[in-house]
Amino acid sequence: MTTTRRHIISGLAASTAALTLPWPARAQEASDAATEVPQEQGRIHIYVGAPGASKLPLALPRPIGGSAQAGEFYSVVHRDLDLSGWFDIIDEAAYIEAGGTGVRPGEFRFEDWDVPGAVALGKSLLRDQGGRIRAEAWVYDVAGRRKLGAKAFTADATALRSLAHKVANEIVFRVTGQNAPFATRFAISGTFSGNKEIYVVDFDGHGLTRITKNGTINLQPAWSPGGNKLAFTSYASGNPDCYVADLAGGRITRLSARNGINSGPCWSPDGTRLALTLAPNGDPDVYVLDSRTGEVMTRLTRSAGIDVSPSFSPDGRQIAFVSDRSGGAQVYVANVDGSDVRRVTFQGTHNTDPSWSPKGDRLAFVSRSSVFDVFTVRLDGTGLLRITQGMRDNEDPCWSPDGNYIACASTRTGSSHIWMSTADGTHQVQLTQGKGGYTNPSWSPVLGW
Amino acid sequence: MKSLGATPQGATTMARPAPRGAVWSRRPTWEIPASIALHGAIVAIVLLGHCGSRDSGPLIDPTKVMQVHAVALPKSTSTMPNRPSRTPDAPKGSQASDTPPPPPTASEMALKKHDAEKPKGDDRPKDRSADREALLRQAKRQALLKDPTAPIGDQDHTRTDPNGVDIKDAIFGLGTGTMDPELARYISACRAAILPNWTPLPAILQAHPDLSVQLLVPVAADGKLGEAQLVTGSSDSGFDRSALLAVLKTGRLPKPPGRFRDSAAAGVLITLAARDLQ
Repeated sequence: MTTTRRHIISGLAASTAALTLPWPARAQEASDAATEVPQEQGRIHIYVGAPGASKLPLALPRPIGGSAQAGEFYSVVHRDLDLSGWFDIIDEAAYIEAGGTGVRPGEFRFEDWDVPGAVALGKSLLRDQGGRIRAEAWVYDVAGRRKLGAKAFTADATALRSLAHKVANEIVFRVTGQNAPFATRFAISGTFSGNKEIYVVDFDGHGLTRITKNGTINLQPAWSPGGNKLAFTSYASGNPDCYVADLAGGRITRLSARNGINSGPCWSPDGTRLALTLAPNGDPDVYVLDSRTGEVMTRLTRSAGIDVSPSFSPDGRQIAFVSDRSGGAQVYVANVDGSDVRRVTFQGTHNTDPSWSPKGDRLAFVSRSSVFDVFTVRLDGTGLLRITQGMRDNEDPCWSPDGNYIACASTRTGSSHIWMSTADGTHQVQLTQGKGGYTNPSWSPVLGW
Repeated sequence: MKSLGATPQGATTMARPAPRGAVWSRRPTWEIPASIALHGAIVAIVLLGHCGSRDSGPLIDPTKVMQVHAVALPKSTSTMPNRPSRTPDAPKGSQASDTPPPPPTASEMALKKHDAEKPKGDDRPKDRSADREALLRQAKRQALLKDPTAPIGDQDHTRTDPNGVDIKDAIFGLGTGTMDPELARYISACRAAILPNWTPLPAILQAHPDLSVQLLVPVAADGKLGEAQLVTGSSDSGFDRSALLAVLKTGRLPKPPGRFRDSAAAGVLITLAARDLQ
């Protein structure tokens, strides 16, 4: 209610502005005929630059079109936009436009959206078409009195949620110019059945799907770049071996079953290689395998210490990994042939689980003090940035496909859930719901479903 | 002047008193009445002066009392001389004595001061107040610079500050010249007030990172903003409108410092740019 009141007040202020500042004609005239004020001495000059820290007031009226599933569709779009952290979605009670008003230009008045203080407007249309659903997204710049974009999507009636994710994606892209991660999934190791099995769940925590059913321990899933395969470690045969699940065909094949551990797989960006930890002689080292045959292509590390947790760089030329060669567990980076090994983390005595940002500039990792927390750091070891603090254990960080968000498994509410934050650690939100048990999240690429 | 009982040679001696009859050997004539009259006059003058001063107010005028501020001076970094490890020996030739030497008389002190070697150059006592004032100004200035959130009052802190910049010489704006510290804090506070209210669309900023708009906004003495005037528009009407709305939503800025009120009332230039050029 407070938010509503605030928006009404700001809206009234905005409408007052519209009255006192005839727009846009007057502004355009002034812009055309603007005369430069000389920088005379004694004139105070305030420079305001680099906006973007504030959330954008977004008006999101309910979809028109009369679909019976409009309510569920709207709630998915609303939650997606809320989770994104970009928007301050204005309460519907502040809207003055009548429900059912059209979505196309000319079918509504921009002035009606000045009142609640909207900067952007996301209108939608949802229509049932004989077992299929057609959704249209219309996005407007309220201040600029213009359309930013429009797009139509059609899907089976059973794919309503994915349709809503796509509409939410479209709104974010048109307003911010950035892709949103709504059309993605997480692969996780879940304890819902009593054992640790591999599951897949939508970005917003819905659509939990079980992948493994072997009743043993299944860990560390990793999405292939194409989003159609999952590599993971399983004790199905008693030894920690590496398996690959074909999500489309439903087949699970064992890729590496060498003596000792075969754990922590990570796909190369082109999908042809898998980096994982092998210990054929008892000393864990990082190897690169052919992702189809499982044959060893190169051995990345040869130190006497433990070398584990590989993570490919976005260009596929380097691999980050964890090594205790300096005493404690620290994050290192090396070329994919094992040359030019460089230490990245220097603060803390136990830094693990590196995950390379899709933008290529930072590594997310976990540092243990009294609890586990997520940090990011530049490749040269500078720019250490804390993502979590005072939130119990936060582990297994992974990046969204666009690199704008970081997800991790967190016990901050008691049981382990997937939490997401923006890449700078702000806007922390819980994605999964229920009693918990979500660990080892791996963020999928953008999926075409 | 020879004292009573002075010897013919003029040397003062207290050992042999003067003969009793010598003092009163002469008969008093006119000196006694004259002395009485003179003393009476002196007493009268003193009494009258004391009575007259009662109506002139307190003896100490509080407005004329010099105020003394305690200023924390920086610690000396010079090292102390080594303490002697034992009591130093008495100078050779002197006679050891259990009784301390008598304190010097006033005449001896005057004699020593008079004979002391004069410092070369200015022999006036050094005035430390200027140094103290400089330290005080420096401390104030550092405090101002360190605390950007400190309230901006009406008092002009920099008028007498040699490091401050006079209004007529100031160049305000994009980091050119020397920024008056009080003005810098004011501009920073204004920026912090406006920025949260400015919400241009990120897609526009991303597509056109060079957009900027300049507004002229009168700022009253209480900080209230007048009607914004578009001075230089960008090529994007939505961007311009977002800037105008930002000023409108802000509504009020911090009170301009005393020296800048006239300038603020005449209009403050506000440039809103897509990217940070500073």
